[in-house]
Amino acid sequence: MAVENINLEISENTHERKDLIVVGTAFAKGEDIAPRGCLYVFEVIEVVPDPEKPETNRKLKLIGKEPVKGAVTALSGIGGQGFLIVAQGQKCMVRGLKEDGSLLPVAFMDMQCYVNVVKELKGTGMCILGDALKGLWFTGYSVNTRPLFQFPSIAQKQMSDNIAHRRNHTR
Amino acid sequence: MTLFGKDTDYLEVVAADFLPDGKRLYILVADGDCNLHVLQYDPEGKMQMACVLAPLF
Repeated sequence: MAVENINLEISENTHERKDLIVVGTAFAKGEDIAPRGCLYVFEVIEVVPDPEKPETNRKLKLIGKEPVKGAVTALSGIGGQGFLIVAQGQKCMVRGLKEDGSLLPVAFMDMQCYVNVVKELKGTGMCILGDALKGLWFTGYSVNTRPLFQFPSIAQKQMSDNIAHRRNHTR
Repeated sequence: MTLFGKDTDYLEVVAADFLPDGKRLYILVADGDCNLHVLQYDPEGKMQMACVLAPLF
């Protein structure tokens, strides 16, 4: 239900980054069975093409797969560490790709019904989570707790700047 | 994860994106009734709706 090109960190040891295709799927088998989903991470690799079709020189190579509870409905990259944020069921999870191909959860936030929009303000860790029925959340993710607390102070600084700006204009 | 703000009325979000303008942060939301909302992130209070644009249809 979601496909996104995300710049992910492919190894927690070397911190190497790569542009990867992340796919989120859903299995909804009626109201009696809880929906399940799966996350796939693909790399675009070059292969030897068909001699008659030289444009067939690329292939998707599966490098990671993670079955999850709940349908995967939206995806986005998040933060500066090469993580991704996944809307799965009534939760939004920040996950990191490990070398064994699994996607380790690092943070989560409870949502309401059906998150169909996840958008990040590029590289900042701030993102909007839009629910199809219950409105919009403006959230942030950061690895250390310290920068997390810096967010409001930055916002307050911006606010005071805005007030100063307004004051200058009213004069 | 930290929650910074939430919209004041329950919108049916169809599509949304950031709309940064200098030092100010706005969020553009399209709802299920064909309205476009421009929300402003105001850290001193709740997220406020700056203006509602007229329905498209």
